[in-house]
Amino acid sequence: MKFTRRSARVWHGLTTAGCCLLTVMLGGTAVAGTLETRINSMLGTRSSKVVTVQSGEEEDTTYFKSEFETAQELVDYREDLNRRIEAEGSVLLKNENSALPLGSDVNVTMFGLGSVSPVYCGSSGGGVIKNTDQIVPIAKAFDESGIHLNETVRDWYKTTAIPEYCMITSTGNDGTTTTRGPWDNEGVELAARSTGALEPDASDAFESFRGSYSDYSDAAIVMLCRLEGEGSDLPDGCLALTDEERALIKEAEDNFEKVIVLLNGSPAMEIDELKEDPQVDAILWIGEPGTHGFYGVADVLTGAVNASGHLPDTYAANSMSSPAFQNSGDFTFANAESAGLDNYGSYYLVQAEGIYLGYRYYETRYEDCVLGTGNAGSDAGTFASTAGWNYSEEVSYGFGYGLSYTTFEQKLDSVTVDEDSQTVTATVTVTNTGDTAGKDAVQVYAQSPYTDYDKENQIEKSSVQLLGFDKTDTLEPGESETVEVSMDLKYLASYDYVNAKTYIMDSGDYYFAIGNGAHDALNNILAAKGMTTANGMDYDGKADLAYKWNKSDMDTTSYSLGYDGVTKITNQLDDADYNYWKPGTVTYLSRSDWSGTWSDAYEGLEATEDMLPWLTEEQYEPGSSDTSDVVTGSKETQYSLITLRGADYDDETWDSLLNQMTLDEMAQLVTDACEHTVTVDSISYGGSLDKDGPIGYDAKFSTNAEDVYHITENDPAYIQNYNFATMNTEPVLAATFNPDLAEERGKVNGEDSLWSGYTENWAPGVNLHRTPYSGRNYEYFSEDPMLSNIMGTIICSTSQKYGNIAAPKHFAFNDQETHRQGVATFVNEQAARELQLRAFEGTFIPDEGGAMGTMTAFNRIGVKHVTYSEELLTNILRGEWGFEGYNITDFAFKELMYPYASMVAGTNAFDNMISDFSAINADTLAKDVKLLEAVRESCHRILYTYVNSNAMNGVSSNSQVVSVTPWWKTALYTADAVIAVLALAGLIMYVISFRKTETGRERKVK
Amino acid sequence: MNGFLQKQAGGFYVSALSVILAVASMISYAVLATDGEKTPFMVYVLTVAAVVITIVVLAWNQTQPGRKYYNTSSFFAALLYAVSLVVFFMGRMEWIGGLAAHNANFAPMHMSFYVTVALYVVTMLLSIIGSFMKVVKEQG
Repeated sequence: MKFTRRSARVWHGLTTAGCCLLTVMLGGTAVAGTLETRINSMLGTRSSKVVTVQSGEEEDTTYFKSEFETAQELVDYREDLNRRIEAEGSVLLKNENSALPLGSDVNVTMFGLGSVSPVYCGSSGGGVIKNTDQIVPIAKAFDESGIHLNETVRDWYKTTAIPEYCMITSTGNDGTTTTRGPWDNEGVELAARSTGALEPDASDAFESFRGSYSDYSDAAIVMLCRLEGEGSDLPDGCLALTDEERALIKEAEDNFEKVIVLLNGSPAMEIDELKEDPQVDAILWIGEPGTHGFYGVADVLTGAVNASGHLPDTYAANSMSSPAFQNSGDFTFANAESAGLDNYGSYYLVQAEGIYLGYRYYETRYEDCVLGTGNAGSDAGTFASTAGWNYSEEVSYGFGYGLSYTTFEQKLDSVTVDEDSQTVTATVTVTNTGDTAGKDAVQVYAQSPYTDYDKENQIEKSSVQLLGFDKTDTLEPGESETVEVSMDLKYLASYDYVNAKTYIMDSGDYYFAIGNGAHDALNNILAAKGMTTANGMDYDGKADLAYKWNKSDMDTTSYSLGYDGVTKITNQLDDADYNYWKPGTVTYLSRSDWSGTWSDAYEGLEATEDMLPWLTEEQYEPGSSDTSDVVTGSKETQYSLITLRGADYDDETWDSLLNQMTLDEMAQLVTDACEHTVTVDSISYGGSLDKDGPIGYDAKFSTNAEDVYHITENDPAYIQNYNFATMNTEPVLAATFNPDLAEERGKVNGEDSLWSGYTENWAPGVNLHRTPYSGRNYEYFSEDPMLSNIMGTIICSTSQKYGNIAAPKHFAFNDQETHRQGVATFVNEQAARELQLRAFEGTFIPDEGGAMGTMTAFNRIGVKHVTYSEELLTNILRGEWGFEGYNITDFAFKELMYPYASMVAGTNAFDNMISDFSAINADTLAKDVKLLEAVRESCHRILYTYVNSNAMNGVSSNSQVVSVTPWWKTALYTADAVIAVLALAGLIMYVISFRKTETGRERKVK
Repeated sequence: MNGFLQKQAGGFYVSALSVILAVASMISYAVLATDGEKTPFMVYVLTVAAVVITIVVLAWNQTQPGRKYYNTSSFFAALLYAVSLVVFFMGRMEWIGGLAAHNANFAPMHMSFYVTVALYVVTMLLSIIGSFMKVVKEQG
């Protein structure tokens, strides 16, 4: 080998590069070692495994079993369910001239960006389809279903409109990174859109389209899309039609006999002009369909499946007309700057609408218009009405509304109210009176009396509220089915936060009614009261579809006890009302005077002196208290966690088991809990993997051969790469009004858990759609608490049969995304309990949903962050509802979720590993008995939850936890060794070449 | 001045640029430190040491052309930058752990973290490139 100065420099450079790389690699290896559990959670690997020592006895350790033999069976079931939910969740709002169904083998022209890039899911957070290869593009699904699309028009969108107007949202880990086009056609077909209205101006291209219309003239379909995403609300006004969208509709109307509009997305758009437009024949809301949902949409369009969905939200003529909207968005404390409030403490939200959220507002005001009470017809809150507030002008389609291709007759056979068991049962016979087979939803609504007592004590009453629902099987023409809907009377009780300070049932006349949505049911109630169109009703109701029940005495005790019949329910959220801090500031909307209590916005409120500590300081300082009574690290017993599978929470053995845990183990279990729980050696607990996912786990099939359910390398590539985040968003499921489909959806969560190896799923989302602009509505069911409650409850109770840990989120009051991290949410306790909390209640109660997990929210309730609201997490969640599992924060920040205060208030685990949460460590625990006991209690909750989950599948009483090296760690070690050898070789060559060249140079000089 | 510049080889310019970027890296690191998370002081020490070594050896090369020396400052500087990066990462390990979370993009100081990392990486890469090059043209 020839050595020159040039070669010496090369070896010098290579040595430098090698040594630097080695340094970085060694550092990276150390970092990865510390983050081992987190990396395992991401990759689905483990650093420990449970080894069972053979005892001679055969022991079935598959505590939770799958109903599927193969992964392919599960995938087929999921994709079929996705399709069926979409078909039943699509809501037919208008169908003039029998425009729908189209029948099969039709050629149609589809207008709009959605024809190539529809909204399949949310744009970020848990509602994102992570593997876009699994999406069946709209054109493919339609084509296979017999709807052939005009490719001339679609080509324009692909080649011209998409690159300019659409942003593909990445589906990476955080789900938010965006890149711009252009892309190839395949990428365009799978593109997600930007949020808000996005339709390009296609008018210049219309002329070039027209030559193709004749071959695709069976119908024009106009796609109107709106996309939502976590972290921000939709821009004000973006739910109105844009000029570009109006141009598409006009082009369709001018050139086609039949015009159909598809509403693609969760938010309730402003579509009154479409409703009134005689040339728009049909409107179908389809929400976000998921990977295979467009097959379901096609099923409805062709008529393969009859439409049977009903709206989960009110479609107002003006999307900004609700009282809630007036007080949503960006409100900063007037003294935020002078008081030194940071980004997490500067913002507030006053829910001045009280209980009048969604249809509760529009329908109650409508009744008061008919009854002529409460200044309901005044101009206050008028947005679309021409002369005083008018329901028909303000609302396009009411909550629960939906059409079918056939007609049904519903007969209210009976209503039985049993106060002893606190149930009400409605029996309804449904008959298909049309000529097409189909399903029909039975919706049962109730009205409570609005009494003088209520008016004196600031109790508000909605004129109508959903109490229960069910759905028939497919009824052939002429066929009937009797449906029995059993409902819980406690969900009809009102919360009296002023006088009784608990739930009450007023005396007076109650009405139970059925109908095609809340408005129809209310009209039936009004008919039962003797009202007609002569009184201002928009149409006459049917009195025989309503039932009046009189309660003679007011009851302030029967509904005042928690799930156990012992715990007294009383005010917990007094300080969530701004008036608690500054009396008389906020006037809540009241039906006693719509005009006088309407709020345009509570701007410029101050954070009072008493509020400031809550907004700025850690609320619990760990001190020096004697912790010697709390046993830790005990060797007296050697229980494995599995020993306590099936044991009561209060079983004495838990004490012994918890005594075995060291302070370090306890601290790590509660603070290092982002998408996993850690291994706990002292009790032979192997840890768990957990994931997010209202549309399904963000996880793949397990490839770990030691998992009971896993795939192998012999499974096809589609299965190998399959990600479970695929399903329709929750509003679509809600729109089915079908408890059976909710049960199947719960089954999918449970099966996904078994087959992925991930135990907890942070789902379903059960917050409410406070306004149509809330950015995260796609992850939540509805504006109605009972629709959310029932759907969520069924999903939780079903999924946990498979050992999954259901974790309804975000508990609670995540009502907007603007300033969500710390926004002080002010609300009165009646509204809090009858809306947001009622939506969650059933999911947690042991005999109902029985969810064993929950993720808390980012926001505050009043000025207390929810993570340190003892009233919410301990008194209500555990005390009143009997929540038995454990709660975890959302992505954790120390400035917001004060670690010590949160732990002593009832938070059990932190969703992150930020350094401030490691402030809860062995040292601090050893010095503060209250903190230590809180952490020990949290460990108890966490372990109790997991020992009864499918995380224990394969674990027996003879099992031990042993360490294993995951593949990525082996790869890192190997890379370190190779680079070290190369760096050393480079150094040797450099030294040799340096010496040779210098020796040669010296000789030359001599 | 022209004479001075004309006698400099590529290594001089690359090393000089790495010094500028090292200072920028430190400033970015200081900005990142304001979020209250762990930001070890040792990173400053290591970075300053790398800068000083680079400047001293560059200056020494001007006065000692033709000596048996091959810009070893780049080797040590690059190594110090690499160690700085590792110490930086080790100090913020728990924050980095949060990056794997499902909505990590909401973490505070998200952008400044990436900017600081990028600056240190580029600085290190420049030093590595410099180690392949002569500082002054008179060197063999």
